[in-house]
Amino acid sequence: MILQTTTQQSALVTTIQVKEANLTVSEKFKTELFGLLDTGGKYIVVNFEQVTYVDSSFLGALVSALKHAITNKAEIVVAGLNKDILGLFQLIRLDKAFKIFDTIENAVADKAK
Amino acid sequence: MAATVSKQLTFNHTADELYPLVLEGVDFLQHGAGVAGDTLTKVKLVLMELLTNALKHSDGGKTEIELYLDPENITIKKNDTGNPLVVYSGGIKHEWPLPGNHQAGRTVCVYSWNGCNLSIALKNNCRAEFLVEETGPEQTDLLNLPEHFGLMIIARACSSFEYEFEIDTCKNEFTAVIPLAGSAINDKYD
Repeated sequence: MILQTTTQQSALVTTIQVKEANLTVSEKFKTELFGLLDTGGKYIVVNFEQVTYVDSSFLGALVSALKHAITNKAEIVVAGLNKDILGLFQLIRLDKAFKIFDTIENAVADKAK
Repeated sequence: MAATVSKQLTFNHTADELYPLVLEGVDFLQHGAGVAGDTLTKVKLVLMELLTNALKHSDGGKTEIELYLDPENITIKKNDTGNPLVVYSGGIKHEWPLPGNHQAGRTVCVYSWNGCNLSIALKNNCRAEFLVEETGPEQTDLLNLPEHFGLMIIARACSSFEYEFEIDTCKNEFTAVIPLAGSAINDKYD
């Protein structure tokens, strides 16, 4: 399992359990995230706190899941990005596609708004 | 001529090697040549994406990465004899070497989203330059968001990013240039 998922105030908080989020795990990540959406997840916080770096393949999987979420009338947000990963999101403008939160708590609280 | 410092890395296309090789290249520039900060972050991104590209598309063999440092730029070259560059534009497949000798001056758009295009300016049927084009205004139709970001990441992190297919040897060469100072965003159309 790439993802470890808990429920916090009706949000699903799913933590990526690898340091190197790259080509070797991107397909598994995508499958597991699709699974959360297909089993009814409507607000999913993807927690990057354990991740050191991400590559384009992993970001592609995340975007694919975002599109699946939209068609399922669900939402995916991200939290816990380190400086390099946040910079990468900004570099290719994924900060315009995802809500980005500093902490899980802030991401979960945003759902209540 | 200004002095150039260089290092070569060999990638045998296993996933386990990928991140350690990125760190080896970064370490060489950081501790061996004093490169730091934002520039080093860009080097890391470019190395990671070039090696990921090799892992995905280089059909066996090995990939050589060369790092060059001169007083103005860091130049990163990736060479292999694997599969040549293939891009899709408007549903049309473009595979190098491109057919015919009439390609010079053409531009192919390979990525478009949120007021930003990644285009390939063709120099001839074997040589191409990646260009980031700010088209504006921004729009965020998420269902049209591309899912392939590798070339865009490299192009945005560099001041120059080129590809060349060498017909005689079937060698693919990507060349990425990261300036040591100033903006590194590759916006040739601005």
